[in-house]
Amino acid sequence: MTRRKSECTDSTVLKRVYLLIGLLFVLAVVVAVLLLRHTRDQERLYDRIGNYHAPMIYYTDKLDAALELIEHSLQHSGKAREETHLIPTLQNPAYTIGSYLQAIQKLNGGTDFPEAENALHRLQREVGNLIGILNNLSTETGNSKPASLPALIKSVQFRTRQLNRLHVNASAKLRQNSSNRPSVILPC
Amino acid sequence: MIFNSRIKRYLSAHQTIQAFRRLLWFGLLLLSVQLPVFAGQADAAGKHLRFGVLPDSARDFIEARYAPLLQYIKQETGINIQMVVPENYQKLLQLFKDKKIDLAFFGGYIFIQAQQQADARPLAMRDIDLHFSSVFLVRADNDRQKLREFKGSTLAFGSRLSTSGHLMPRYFLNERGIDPETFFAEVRYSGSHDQTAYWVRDGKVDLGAANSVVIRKMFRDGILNGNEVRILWETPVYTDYVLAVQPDLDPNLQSRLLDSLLALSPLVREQRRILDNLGAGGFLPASDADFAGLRQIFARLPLELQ
Repeated sequence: MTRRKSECTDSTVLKRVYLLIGLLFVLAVVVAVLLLRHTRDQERLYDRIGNYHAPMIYYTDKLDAALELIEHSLQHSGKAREETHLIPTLQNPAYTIGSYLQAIQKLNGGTDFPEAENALHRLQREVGNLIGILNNLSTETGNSKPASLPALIKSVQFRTRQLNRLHVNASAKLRQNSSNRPSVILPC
Repeated sequence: MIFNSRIKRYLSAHQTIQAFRRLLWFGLLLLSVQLPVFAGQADAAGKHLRFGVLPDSARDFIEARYAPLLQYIKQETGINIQMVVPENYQKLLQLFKDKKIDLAFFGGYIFIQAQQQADARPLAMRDIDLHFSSVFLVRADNDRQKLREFKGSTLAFGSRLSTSGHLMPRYFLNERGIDPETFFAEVRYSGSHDQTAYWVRDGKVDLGAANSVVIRKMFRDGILNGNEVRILWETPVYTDYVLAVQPDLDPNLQSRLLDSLLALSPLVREQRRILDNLGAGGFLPASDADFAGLRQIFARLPLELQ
């Protein structure tokens, strides 16, 4: 009777040990999956910031600065040489803004950011018009520039700033999301 | 044997009923979880939004300012927007807190309050809102040239909750060591920018602080005459107005709204009219960071003004 009782207790303990091991195993798997998912999400987030938003912000800043220079040099184009020699000018404005636009277009952000996609389309359209006018301007003799040029430059500049701010805001939001997530590395 | 089979039949029937009951409960639970989602979808399909605006000028002036914009948004997105003009700034904040409006065009000061109290989310702002300013108005025949010369005079602010009509002019006065309540003989609140200008014109107050865009538009439209009122001083620039939305507004609607606003171009004649009405050159995406400076000023305000 005593032996049977002891056998019974042994088997119950053993069962509990197996159950505990099983539970620990399941828990370890769950933790591993969660960690993996967290790391992947973080990676994806940093990838999005580093390979999409940050270069987009960089190139739109550059484009904005180039447009500023074009506007500046156009404003002073009628003035005497001694007045304008200190003003930095772009050697080939159409090429410069075209190359920045190309760099921007190469950055692929997927389809989950429709505002930025549409803002880029609007920018492309207006930069295209501007490049057309600038190319005609450089081939034409004389100093006549279309009356619409300053307004078009301003508009392209504004479109550039819109795109820039969309990416600055989206990037800030992602950083915020990232900092809101619990850190994987536990403090010692 | 017969008894056993009866029990089995009974148990099987009982289990079926129980399973059916569970299924019913599960279905009800699922439905209750899904109901708000369905409601949101219906709302999105109906595309009807309520848009609150600051009552910073006369009602007909406000309606004329925003009506073309709302018409344009409807054309571009199919979203029908109903304009709500409350009696005062406080009421606009209350309507937003009570979720009786879906989006609002706030001044910076009231936006920070809406953000703190109702989690308002910035969506878009006009280009001019990043470089906004206030003006101090005096009668044209008043020959005093500096603010300090107005000691002991009467001053009018706009609404107590107005950024450009109260908070920022007060802040810049404080920066110059002027405490309005002790420096001036009397400080009054007109309730709106145009009213402040009328009070100055009619000699009800000696000095008035108001929104520079509204005042310049009044001069342009001939509502104010340069022979009657002049600008004494213009403040440095700061961030002001913003179009903010409820935190739970459908992201798809937010995206479409933002996109339609960003698309507005002064190069297109009809759109230039819309932008001119708003005193803007275009719209930019807005963010919390744009209001960091204003938030600091707000935090330094005396408690009764917060």
